[in-house]
Amino acid sequence: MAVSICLNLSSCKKFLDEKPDQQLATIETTDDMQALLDNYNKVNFNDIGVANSCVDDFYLTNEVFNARTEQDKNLYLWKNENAFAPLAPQWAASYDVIFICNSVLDAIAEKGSRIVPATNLRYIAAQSRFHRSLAFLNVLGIWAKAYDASSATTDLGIPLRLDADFNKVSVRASLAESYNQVLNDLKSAIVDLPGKDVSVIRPNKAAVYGLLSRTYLQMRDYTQAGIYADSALQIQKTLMDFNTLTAASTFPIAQQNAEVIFDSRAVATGIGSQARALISPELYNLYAANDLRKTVFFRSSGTTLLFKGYYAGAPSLFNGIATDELLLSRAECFARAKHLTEALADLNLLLVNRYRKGTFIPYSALSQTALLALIKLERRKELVFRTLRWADIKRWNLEGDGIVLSRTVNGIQTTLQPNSLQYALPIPEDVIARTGMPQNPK
Amino acid sequence: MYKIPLGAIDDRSTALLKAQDFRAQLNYTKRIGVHGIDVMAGAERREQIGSGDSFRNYGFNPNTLTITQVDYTNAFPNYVTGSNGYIPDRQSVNRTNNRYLSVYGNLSYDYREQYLLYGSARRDATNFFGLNTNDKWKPLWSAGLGWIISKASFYNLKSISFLKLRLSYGFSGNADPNQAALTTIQYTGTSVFTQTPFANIDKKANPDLKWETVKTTNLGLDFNAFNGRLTGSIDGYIKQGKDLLGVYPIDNTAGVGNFITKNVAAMRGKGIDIQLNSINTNGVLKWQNALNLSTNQTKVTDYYLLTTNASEWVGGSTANISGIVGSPVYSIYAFKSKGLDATGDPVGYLNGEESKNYLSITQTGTKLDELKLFGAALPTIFGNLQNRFIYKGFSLQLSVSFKLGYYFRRSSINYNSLINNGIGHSDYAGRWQNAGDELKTNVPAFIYPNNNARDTFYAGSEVLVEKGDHIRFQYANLGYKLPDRLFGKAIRSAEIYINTTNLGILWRANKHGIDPDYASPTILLPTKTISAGCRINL
Repeated sequence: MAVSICLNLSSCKKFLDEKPDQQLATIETTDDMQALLDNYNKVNFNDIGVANSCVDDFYLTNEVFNARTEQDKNLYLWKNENAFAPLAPQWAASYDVIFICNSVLDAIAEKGSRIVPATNLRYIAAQSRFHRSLAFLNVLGIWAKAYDASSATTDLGIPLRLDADFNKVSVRASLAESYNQVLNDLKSAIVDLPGKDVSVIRPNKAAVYGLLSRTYLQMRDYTQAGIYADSALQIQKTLMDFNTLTAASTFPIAQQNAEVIFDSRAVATGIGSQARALISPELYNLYAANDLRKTVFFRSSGTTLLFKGYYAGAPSLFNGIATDELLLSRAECFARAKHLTEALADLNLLLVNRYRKGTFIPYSALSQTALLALIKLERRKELVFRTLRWADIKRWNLEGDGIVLSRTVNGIQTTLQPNSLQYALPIPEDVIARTGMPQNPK
Repeated sequence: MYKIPLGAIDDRSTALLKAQDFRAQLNYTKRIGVHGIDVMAGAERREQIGSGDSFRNYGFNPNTLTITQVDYTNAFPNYVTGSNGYIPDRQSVNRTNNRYLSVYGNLSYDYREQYLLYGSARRDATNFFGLNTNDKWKPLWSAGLGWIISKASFYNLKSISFLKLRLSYGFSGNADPNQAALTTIQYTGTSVFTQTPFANIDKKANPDLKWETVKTTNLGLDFNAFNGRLTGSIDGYIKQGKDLLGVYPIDNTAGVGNFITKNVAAMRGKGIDIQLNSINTNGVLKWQNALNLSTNQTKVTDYYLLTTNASEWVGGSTANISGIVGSPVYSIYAFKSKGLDATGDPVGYLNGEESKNYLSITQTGTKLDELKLFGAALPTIFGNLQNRFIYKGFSLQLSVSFKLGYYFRRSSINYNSLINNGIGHSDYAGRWQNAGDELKTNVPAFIYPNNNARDTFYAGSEVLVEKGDHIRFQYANLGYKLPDRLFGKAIRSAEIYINTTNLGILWRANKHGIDPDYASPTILLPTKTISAGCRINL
């Protein structure tokens, strides 16, 4: 009797279909997909701060260096092996985001035809592709060499995971394929994103334009980079006047301030953490006396300087899109295209918002070479701890700038020569062991 | 101006648990001539619903029961760190519902109460989320034959009054909750930026996972001898497991972490279980024994996947099914080491040569067959022995348990933990300090700057593996039963007793005084307890 009742499969099935936890769900509706993408701690704030750990804007004391793990020490000295501990989160951080995006895209591909309205789906697909592109770009910046159109089809790129099937083995695509994937994903997302969304935690049109500009800048296609920076700035071009900030605050720059177009943050751990990364005096001395960035960005800790100008209101490395970055990108592209007046206008606009009121004398009448050098200098002074300098150094060295990085610790100096193979950091050895993918050349 | 108002913070929460069980069972017994049949069938359904919520009020005045509103949607600087943060709202709602279904039945048939046939089957299901319906059910069935030899016509062994032979074969299947057919997500909170809910990916669809299946064949003998002076049973069994579930390292580029559950191995196990009860003396002083003795040997017969980094099998917090065919299912492996060298560094081997390249040894440089395999991580012989003495009103019970034939890894000083977290270990006192100490100790010298891989190598090296064999004194009970009605009609009987438990280890194989069942340095040994009492029946 009771046995036959329970052998009645349909009522048993329904009994067992009840969710063990009401908060569990499968990816069925656009609400589910949006919920996955709105998980900002995992999607927006999980980037890797490694690129920041490799630049000359800061240094470590001998004591701090000696206390670091072996891998952190190798990372600090640009060694070509063992720079990441086994199972360390740096490599996985971006790929975890990529997995979430792919899960959403797979769900759309599978169930999309049953969901209405379709515009919601396109909006969500566009967001996924944006987040995925940003993640790919971050990985490219660290573990691939600088993009050079002449060799990009044979240079090693990164594994491009485009679906959520984790049983597939990861294979490194070429550098050209990798950058093209980013460009195509971003371009396809433009039409489906609004000019402004409910929060800058979600990507909008300006964010896509901004990221395209950043990508083309890395690829040294300055025409395209300039066009996209301009498109983004047409939608949003507000600048914060540093005169209105309270320089004495612990974190003078609020999160999601007027300049932020898209909020994305990287974790600052290991050698890049606020307390350990001391600002190099060489950088500090680049600022003029009336440059408010001196007090807004830095605070003294005894005889040394720490960074506090994070665009996050907290010690997280902001690496999203902001108008100051785009203004400098556009200025650089204008200067390279010999539109010197427009370039000067952009540069002066930025700087008048960074100097004490009434003290800034706008630049004028500079030659193209001088202007370009000035823009590069201001780019370095403005975008401190934004994880962008590493990519800038790589591309400028391809043009012959000859920037040499140098770190001295325990009395021994280590230098990184321009265009050295070490600019493509070694992929974590356990990833290589588990996949058999080629390591970067040493 | 502070954003959190003056006053108390009032945290409220409710939790409710409702559980209901329903079971229906049918029994049927019938004897027809020389045949006897006994059938039982039943079904059970259980449900446990938990629900709860929590809420927080700021600026709470318990006298007037007034509260003040706060702004949860904007970020404010934290008073201590200066970073921006959001005021915690401690609001949540949750509901869980765990459901279980079971269907079972058994049948036994006897012919002349001498030849027996029996079978039993059951299927249990749980409402795991995201699994195919079939994968929610766990089947378990067994069938067997029995023969009461002592009832046979040819049997005339007077000393053994009861002798029964049994043979059974059983099957059980096990599905893993990770065997999700669909990717599932869990809603965990609301985004402070968009005021919309956000979710995490909970389980990833893993349709490749198959059930674990275990088949067991058991042959047993029950007996009663010497007029009940010696009774017991002896069983021998062989188990064959297929598609055992284990964790397997995965390339974290896949975005699902560093390990996934996969069907990794097939195994074979065999063992003997002996249960003996003896009445040694039955006069004024009664002395009885009860012995349970088991042996268990397992062997991996097939490992389906590639074994790359040998270091995956050394140490680690989760027990890993052994990757070497022929070794016990859970084994203890270690890096080969010859101890310390003249400078106090542990020495390992790489490609057959002595090496201090700890990074390579502990990552990709060691192959699985270059590790030292000690043996089983679980006891291969275990059991307990009880002695009971009764003299007039006194009774004394002593119980001793034993676990033999296995190994465990002991903890030691880890300089990385010491430097970064202040976690020490008593082995620090025995570390290498001067030339010549390498002949007396295996604890490496303290070096600074430290080398993490050296710590990892030392923790996984053979010098820290010990035999786990030990004999433990479980409990002793002493009781005295007072003569009946000693205190008059009011009290029918009374008994006083003293019990002691967790008396400690009588003998251990390791020379470090470690209790293998509590080997982790963060676990306290169970306390010895003594209790005394009296029981009165009115």
